[in-house]
Amino acid sequence: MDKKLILQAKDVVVKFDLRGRVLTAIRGACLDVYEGETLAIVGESGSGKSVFSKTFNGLNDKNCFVEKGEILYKGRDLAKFRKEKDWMQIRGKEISMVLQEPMTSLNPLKTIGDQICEAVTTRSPRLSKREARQETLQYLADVGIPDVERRYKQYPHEFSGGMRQRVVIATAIACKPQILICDEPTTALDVTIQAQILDVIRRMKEKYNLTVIFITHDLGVVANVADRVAVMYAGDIVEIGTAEEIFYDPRHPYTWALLSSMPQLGERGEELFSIKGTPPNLFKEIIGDAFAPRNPYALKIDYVQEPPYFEVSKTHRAKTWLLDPRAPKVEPPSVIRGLRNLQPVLPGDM
Amino acid sequence: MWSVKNKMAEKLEGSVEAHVKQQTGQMPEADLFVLAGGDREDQERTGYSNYSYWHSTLQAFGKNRVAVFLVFVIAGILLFTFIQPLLPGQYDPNMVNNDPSGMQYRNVPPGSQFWFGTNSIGQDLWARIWAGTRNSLFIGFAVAGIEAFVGIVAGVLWGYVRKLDALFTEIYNVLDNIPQTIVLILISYILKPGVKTLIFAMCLTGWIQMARFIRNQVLMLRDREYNLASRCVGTPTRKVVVRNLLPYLVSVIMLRMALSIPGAIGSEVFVTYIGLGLPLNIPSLGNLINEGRALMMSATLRYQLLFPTIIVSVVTISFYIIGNAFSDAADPKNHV
Amino acid sequence: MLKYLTKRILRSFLTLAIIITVVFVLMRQMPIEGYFDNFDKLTEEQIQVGLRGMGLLDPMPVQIVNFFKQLLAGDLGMSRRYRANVPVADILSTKIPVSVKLGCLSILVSLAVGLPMGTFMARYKGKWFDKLGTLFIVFIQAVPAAVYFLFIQLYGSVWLKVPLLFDPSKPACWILPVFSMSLGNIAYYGMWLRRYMVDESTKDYVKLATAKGLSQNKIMVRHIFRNAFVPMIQYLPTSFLNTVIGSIYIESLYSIPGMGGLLVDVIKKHDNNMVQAIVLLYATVGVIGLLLGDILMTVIDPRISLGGKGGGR
Repeated sequence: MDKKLILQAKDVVVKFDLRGRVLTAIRGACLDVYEGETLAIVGESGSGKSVFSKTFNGLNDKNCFVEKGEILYKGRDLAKFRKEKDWMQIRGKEISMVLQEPMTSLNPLKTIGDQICEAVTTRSPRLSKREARQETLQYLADVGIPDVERRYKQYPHEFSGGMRQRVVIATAIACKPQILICDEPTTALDVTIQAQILDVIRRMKEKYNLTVIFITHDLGVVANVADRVAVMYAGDIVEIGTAEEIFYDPRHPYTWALLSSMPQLGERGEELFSIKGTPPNLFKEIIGDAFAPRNPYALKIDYVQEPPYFEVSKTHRAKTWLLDPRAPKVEPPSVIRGLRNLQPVLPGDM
Repeated sequence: MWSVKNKMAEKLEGSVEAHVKQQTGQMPEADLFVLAGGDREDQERTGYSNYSYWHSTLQAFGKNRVAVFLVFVIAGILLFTFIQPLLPGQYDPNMVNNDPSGMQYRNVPPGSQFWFGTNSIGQDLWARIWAGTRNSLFIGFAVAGIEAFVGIVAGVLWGYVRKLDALFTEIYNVLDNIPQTIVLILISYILKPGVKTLIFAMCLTGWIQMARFIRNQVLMLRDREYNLASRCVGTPTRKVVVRNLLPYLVSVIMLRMALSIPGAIGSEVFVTYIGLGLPLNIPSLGNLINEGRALMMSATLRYQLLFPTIIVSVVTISFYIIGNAFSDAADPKNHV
Repeated sequence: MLKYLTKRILRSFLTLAIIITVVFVLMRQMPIEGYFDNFDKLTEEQIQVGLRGMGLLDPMPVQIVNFFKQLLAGDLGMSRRYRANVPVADILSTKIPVSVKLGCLSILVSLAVGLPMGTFMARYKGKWFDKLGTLFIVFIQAVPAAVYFLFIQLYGSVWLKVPLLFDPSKPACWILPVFSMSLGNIAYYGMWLRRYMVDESTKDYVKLATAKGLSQNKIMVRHIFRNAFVPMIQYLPTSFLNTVIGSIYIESLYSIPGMGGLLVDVIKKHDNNMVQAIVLLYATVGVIGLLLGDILMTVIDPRISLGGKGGGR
């Protein structure tokens, strides 16, 4: 993995001001993104994965602010960006985005052709109308929409959910970005459509040399697309590694819990595993390991002291005291142990 | 086999240890690296519970200082309209006052005897204004209350009972197509002028708007998952309506009620102006303003217009702002 | 499309017929002196003859049928007390042009001021312009128009040095009535446009447009304003027609010889036929306004399908 760093987030703290009360959504998260890779950020809802990715292109709501940390991209620190004018240079042509809800992320009153074309002309204002239209048609064809000439003039409500998501992807691609953030792009879709959309994203990545940041809570999707996986919990990245490492040799109890709750790994006849409790209240200051109260393997130190990253391999790090040499030897749950034996079958089709 | 020979950790060990010591102080290291044991209750306790709808609503409302202040203003005015007649030395609002020589006190400017002056036939304006405020507020509250009650009942029926849909829709079509002022004028023209007529005429158009709103919400919510869930568990329809639907609608219902009070007061002023309002022996803000208007060209008599308009403005603006503030506060989306 | 339109127009006719019937029946409950200009001097016999002559002693269904026949022939009946025995239609035809002229001016002013106001309030939500605008809207919406119209007339006429009452030959005389009439609409357009725009601006497609790299101003104009304006279009014809047909209060206040002022006059004179005719005229305008609004929506909003299905609420 001697690839070039394209985006580097260091100790990012993001807070929301909710009428005087401050919620800490991201608590000092670090992330390196390498050029040309597909990085998945996984975690349950409310873990901050979406907020974190939106700090990369300034799409969070107005009451959200980056309190600390750096986000380095092409020699600039995005964490320092406050003005609309700064973001205008990043959004679209550098970092573009696919949102979760294909049903609402297109303007219902404009033809889809117009909406993609808008991205093209924003990125290259000098293009003539005809050229912009030609490019738009090309993008529509790229994402697998048949009969592009006719479809160009249609409105979003004339498209199915999967088709709309293709349009959204085409819009994002039309900006000619370096990085494409996909925020749960398949969550709202049918299972059968999901695979198609993932395939479109994969093809677009190859064709346009994109770096993809993929946000999802669905580990099955991750297994399909990701080169590397970052596991997020309560606004921090608790474990990061290559997809193989995370799936076959996970170290953080939260990752164990996440993997154990995948229906695909459950044993027939046994009750499906679920993580007890709810994520911590982010209005309060979190002391120690945020996962400790829900963690059956919690150590006493977890309640008083936040664990640092322990390096498992060059590419694999986890934030848990269990990796400290002084910690007792803890066996992961049997499902996780079973995973290790599966390793050769990678990459598994979920 | 699970032990990881961790180079990184080894390297860091020294510094980490020092750091931990610093933070945890007295706790010996041996104790720190001991399984804490999963505590079920502790796991469940981490969430965001203890949320109460009404508590949060009142809390959010309390934060709006202007609205809270106006609530006191309205309460004060309302209270005073009842206290005023009981105070010593007050005149009867309908009594024509004569001076010692038997002449009427016509258009006496505000002074120590008549605090707000007298009108053109010698009635005390101070007394008339408070009596008028009382009557106008009564009309306002009555209209708001009746509209809300009839509207909610009709709306819930409209939404839940499919057989009634066609009937209500037809009524709605008719009432919605005629401008409200016209209905108001028509009814006031046909019936005898009086408080009841006014209230009836105003409610006639208002309730259908409320009913329509409730009906749309009911239709929208009826098939949402949580209500489906309730019904699957066997909760009776009535309970679903009261528990699940109404709280969601409180915000808008309160807003409409609060806004129909200034609306009713305004309509009363308007109807009086076109000559279909209350008779003069029932003082109201409407006929006080109308009397004042007739005299407004003469600068010395303008006080007769000024006092009632100030009261009307204060009352209507207060209700408007309180209503909006409350509806914001009652919206769960605005609860922190 | 055609099917939907036919259905929609038929609906309107039906509603209108119901309204006319109801109004007609209600008006028959009025005291009979509203049909004579010299009621006090008439003997009982003369009254009976007069009523029979006007067909008012026929059974109700017959009266209704006759009334509809009369309406279809374009006959609105006779004025009895306002102007004795002059056809209502003749009186109205002299009044309507004045109201239309006034109303058109007022609508232009309202749109020209209200739409930019709403847009800027939404664009600078929470800033001083928004607060100022909200203050204005609260005042206009809360305080009865009957109250502030009076003060505009009182102080405006002094300030502009115009007479209190309307004189069509003096252009300056138009300013105050048009201004007063526009205030309500300005607040109304401003408030709804702001609200719709604020609603729209939190939608996902705005996020996507932002992610595309569009500037805030472009998003405001090309996406948010456009989309927020669509729901308003439905109500524009109604608001337009109501304004055009005349503001009852303003016209009466300034003694403008239009429709609205006429209504107040005939109410005060208890001229039943005139009241009936004017009420029906306003109701008709209301029906047409909603009809036009619905038709406009089907033309403008692509989501309302042309087959007439799936649109609706």
